[in-house]
Amino acid sequence: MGSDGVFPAEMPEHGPALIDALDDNTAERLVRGRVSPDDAPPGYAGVAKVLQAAAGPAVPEELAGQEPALATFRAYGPSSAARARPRGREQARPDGRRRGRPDGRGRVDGRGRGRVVALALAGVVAGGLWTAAGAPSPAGLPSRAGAPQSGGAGSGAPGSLTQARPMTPPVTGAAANARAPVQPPARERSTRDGGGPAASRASGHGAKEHRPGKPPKPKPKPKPEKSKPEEKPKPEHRR
Amino acid sequence: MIGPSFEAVLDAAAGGDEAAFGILWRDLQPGLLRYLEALAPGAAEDLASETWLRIVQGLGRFTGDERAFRGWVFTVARHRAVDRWRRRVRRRDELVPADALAGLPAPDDPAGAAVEAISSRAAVALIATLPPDQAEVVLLRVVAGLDVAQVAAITGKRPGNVRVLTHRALRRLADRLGADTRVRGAV
Repeated sequence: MGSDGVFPAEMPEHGPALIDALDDNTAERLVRGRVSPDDAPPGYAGVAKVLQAAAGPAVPEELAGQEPALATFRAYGPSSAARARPRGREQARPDGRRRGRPDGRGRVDGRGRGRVVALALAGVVAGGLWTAAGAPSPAGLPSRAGAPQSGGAGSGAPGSLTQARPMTPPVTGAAANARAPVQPPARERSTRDGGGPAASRASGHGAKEHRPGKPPKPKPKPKPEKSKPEEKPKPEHRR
Repeated sequence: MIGPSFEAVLDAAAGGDEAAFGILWRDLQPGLLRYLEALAPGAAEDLASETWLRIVQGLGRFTGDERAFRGWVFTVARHRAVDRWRRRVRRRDELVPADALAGLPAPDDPAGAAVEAISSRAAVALIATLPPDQAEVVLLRVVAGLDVAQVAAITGKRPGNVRVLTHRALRRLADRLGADTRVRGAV
């Protein structure tokens, strides 16, 4: 027996035949409430009514809970003053400026650049003074501080040559110091390069190694001259 | 639907504006209650409150248009309903005394009520008599105003499946209403 109290065999045959199958377009319009009951396909007038009623305007009972909802919003919602929204959209401030990075980026950069230059110059001067005042240089080797002497005129060498030293880590500076002027034979060089972490010590060791050094003793003289042209351009690049 | 001003309203609500939040709430709450009433009869108010709590907490992080916002709200609502259903399943073994069942009101005839009164509540009650997956699809389409793709995403079905369920639901509703009309006409 069916839910209507009628056996299926007793049901009138014409009933279901009145209901057409819906095409996609009509079904979509029905669901969107765009089919009035009068215009509905045969058998679907009641459906159109029901769907329109289901999507109908709010009744007062449905909006009765607004106050508790607002209380929830006050308690847990974002407060206008405290929280900025982490959203992708642009948000204008009341004064017309955007949040985030300040607009005067170039101005800030200009100041920052000036500070960097001033600090660099101070470092150069301090480094030069330190070197000139007696920074330990490997005995018997032409010191870099003295390089400008042979380095030629007008290169600004005292500053420029010593400039590289304080700005670079002492390790690399010392290692360069040890290597550049001496250029020992390949076997010696390889052993020294192997002592990487102790490179600052290597400068001293390297100097001592070459002093008693066998034949290559004359070599240090030409070497500094060779190294000068290599080092001179460095400050120019910096500029 | 709020329409073109939605973005401004949402921005204001996310900034803490109560009036803007009220606009969002009034726009969505009726549909939310109707949907939840079909999913969890008798618990729609509670589930809607839980849903709004989640919405309020996540309002500042939401990005998207009105369509996406509606989809988000109904997704949260569905999750709340599913959570409640799971809790009830865990407690299913609790015995209900026969006296309590006798005191429950007899179910109305939703089809007759819907055709005559055409109230939204009766209409939703009639839709809720459909098989659950059909009822949910129809309610999300009709009450929530979501499109096929959104309904498919929320329910975890394919868009084609959603269309088929919608067709079946409409046909079944038509059958029920037609049969009801025929029966009453015969009487």
